[in-house]
Amino acid sequence: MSLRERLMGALQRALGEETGGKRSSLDEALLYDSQERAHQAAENAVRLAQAAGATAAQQKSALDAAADHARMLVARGRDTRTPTQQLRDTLERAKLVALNAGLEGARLGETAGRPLVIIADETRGLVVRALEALDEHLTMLGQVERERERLLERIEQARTRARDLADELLRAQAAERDAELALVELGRTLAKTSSTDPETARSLSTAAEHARGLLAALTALSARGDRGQVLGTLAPALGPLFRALRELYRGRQREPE
Amino acid sequence: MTRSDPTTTANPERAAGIVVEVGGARRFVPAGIAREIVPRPVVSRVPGRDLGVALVSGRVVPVIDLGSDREQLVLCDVDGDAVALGGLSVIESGFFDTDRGAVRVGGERVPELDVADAVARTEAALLAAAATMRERDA
Repeated sequence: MSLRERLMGALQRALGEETGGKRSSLDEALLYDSQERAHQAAENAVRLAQAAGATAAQQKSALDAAADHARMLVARGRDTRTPTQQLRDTLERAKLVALNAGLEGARLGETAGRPLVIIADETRGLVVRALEALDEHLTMLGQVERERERLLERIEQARTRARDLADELLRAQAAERDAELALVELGRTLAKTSSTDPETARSLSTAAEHARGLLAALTALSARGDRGQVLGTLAPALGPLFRALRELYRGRQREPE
Repeated sequence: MTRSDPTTTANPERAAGIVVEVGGARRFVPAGIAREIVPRPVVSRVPGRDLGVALVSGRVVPVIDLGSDREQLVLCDVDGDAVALGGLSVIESGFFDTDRGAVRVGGERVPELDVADAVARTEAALLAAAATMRERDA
């Protein structure tokens, strides 16, 4: 029998695992351990979902504020059209005045009317250039207005998505709370149907975990040869362990059936 | 200030007036015909005709639309009667070089707009319509 098999057997005997097909204390310990870990994971998931929900709510508030701001910008952009249109109308009137001055100058004849025609022509040219610049300005204003409207649409879409996300996170929180409650219920059922109390089960689970680690390390060392040196080195640590296991085993034999 | 004869200038190679754009083409209106350029007021239209009536500078004048432009009216004097031309856009005013019954504007030969003919055709169409209505009523 190998060292590994001997140690495993001793541990199984110490933990009362020779149960002939029934659920052993070790199985129960592992069940408790799994249930506890699942419960902790569910609690963590609930906390994380709550934090994500709070972040989603903040995001939605920020998007609401951004949408309000964008709507105000769109309205302001529309407001600027009125004075710009008034400016255009005024320039159109100025152009008519210049044209009429030119016509009046022409009617006065070349000698008397020429200065008036020259001034009228110059004025008309300036007004026409101003009108062209204003039309360009109006075109750009229109483009900016369309961009603002597109921005508002995008923000509205982002708001809708943020609201959907917040709703889904709420549903996820509810589902995680259900899972947590189910795991608590599972723990209660386990305690009712188990012959091992949860504290002992926790200690057993820890012991089993350490025993598995010890076995793995000893198996690795035994493969390296020179077992005498290995045992010599480990004796101070393994001696008390063997003694503790022996005590456990004897104590179990003394227990009434 | 003494006003000269608006139909001619001292220099026969120069003409006084305005250049308008109507239906995509440029036309010259002599200063003797064109009196004033005004923003287009509300025009009460005669159904089915390019004709209307508007209040311009305190006077009720007939309006003949020559095109689709709707921003200005050119108030004209045709044989002592005031007529407003609409559907056009005034481009320039002043003196222009003459070129065989037309003027030159920016190297382009611009023929004169026959305002009297436009008025006569509108008048003839109206009279014809009135005659048709009378016949129908009889």
